[in-house]
Amino acid sequence: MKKIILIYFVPLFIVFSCLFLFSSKINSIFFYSKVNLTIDSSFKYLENFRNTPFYEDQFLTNNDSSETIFILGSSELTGNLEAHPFNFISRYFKTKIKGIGHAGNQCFSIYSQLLANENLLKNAPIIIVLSPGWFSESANGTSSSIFLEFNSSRFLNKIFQNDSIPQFKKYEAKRISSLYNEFSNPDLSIRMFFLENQSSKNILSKFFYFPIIEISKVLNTFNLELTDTKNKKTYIIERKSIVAESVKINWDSIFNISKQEQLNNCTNNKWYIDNEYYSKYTNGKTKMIDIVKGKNNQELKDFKMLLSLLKTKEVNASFIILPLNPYCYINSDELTPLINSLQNDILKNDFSCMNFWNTDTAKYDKGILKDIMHLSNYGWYKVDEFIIKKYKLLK
Amino acid sequence: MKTTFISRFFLNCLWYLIIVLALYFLYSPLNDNPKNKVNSSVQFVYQQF
Repeated sequence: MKKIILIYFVPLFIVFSCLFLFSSKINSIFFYSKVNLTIDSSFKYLENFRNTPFYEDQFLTNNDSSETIFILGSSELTGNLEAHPFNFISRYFKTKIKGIGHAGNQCFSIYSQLLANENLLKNAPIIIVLSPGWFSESANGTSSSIFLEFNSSRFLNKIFQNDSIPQFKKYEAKRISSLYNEFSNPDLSIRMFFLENQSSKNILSKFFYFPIIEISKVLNTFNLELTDTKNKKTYIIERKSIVAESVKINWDSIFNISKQEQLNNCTNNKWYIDNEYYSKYTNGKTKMIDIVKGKNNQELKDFKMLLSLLKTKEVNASFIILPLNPYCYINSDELTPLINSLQNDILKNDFSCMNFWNTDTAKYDKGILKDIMHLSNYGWYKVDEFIIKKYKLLK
Repeated sequence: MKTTFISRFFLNCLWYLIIVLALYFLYSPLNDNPKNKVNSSVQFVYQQF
């Protein structure tokens, strides 16, 4: 018996003791070497949060000396144009602009990111760039992969643990449940939202799911403690007032030069879009835009909830509605009622809106787009002017 | 006899160490590699329900 204990149990005890004592060293060997991202603390633009708590913690915060305006959107923010607000305005003003998003970062993804940081929302200056494509070709709403890219389990846990926002939390649970089948191996935070939505269907479900939800909560707490991803930042940060500065900007000259530059790039087509894009992707082929009406337009429902969240949390928000190239999309006027309803909803909630929407080729501001749906430098300078006026950056 | 005993002891230590480290690597919550189907120990427990 003594021999068995010495040969079998003592080694086991030694191994477990070593694992316990040297767990941090073992973790650093097994897991942390790959997390060797270079962190840019003064970033201007992020495609996503790169699953890095550092960038997630920077979201909606300001720095020591100035306020930071966040611009959220999708593919139009990529490409690093000179006139992107996070390049142009950040260069000349103390108030900095930070951009977050890439293709697919639509209303529900943005809604969820903001909801996870609801303690930072009051008076936060946020600009949301709405792309008409979200409400037509992508009217099914944010895809599951994009949702996960922008909303880590850390963000989702922050929402789940927050009981001060029941109506918004309920919508989050409902939408996550609608995407649930698309997630492969969903983590606990997603499962909990799914179960919460299932349990809210009727009293019987509530009774049935109650123990499972409670066990999940315990396991999740255990998980958070193990992975040390507990939300440490629950304070409300003090928003800084935006200080107006004396910067000389000759808008007429900027508009003229940038418009001319764009038109110089459009010599092989009469759609006023970049030569390379035209010959590579369109070559004169016109398109029909999908019209998805009312009830079936999930993106529209997500947009209304996003507006409601912004209104409830008193966000200093504004919106940019992008145009589509009317030469390419020949039925774009069919989308006008929906775009008008977006604008009306925005204005009804006392938010500012810059609407680029135009379907008339005669009235089209030539050179505003560099391709069939993305703003050129000229278009972005127009946005810069809007932001500077709206947030009173100039004296 | 004594040599066999000591060698068995160390051999067991080594085996257990390998097994424990392998299991820890697979089931640790820190293993968030998308190819890791188990994903985390807590999820592994949860998935058994």
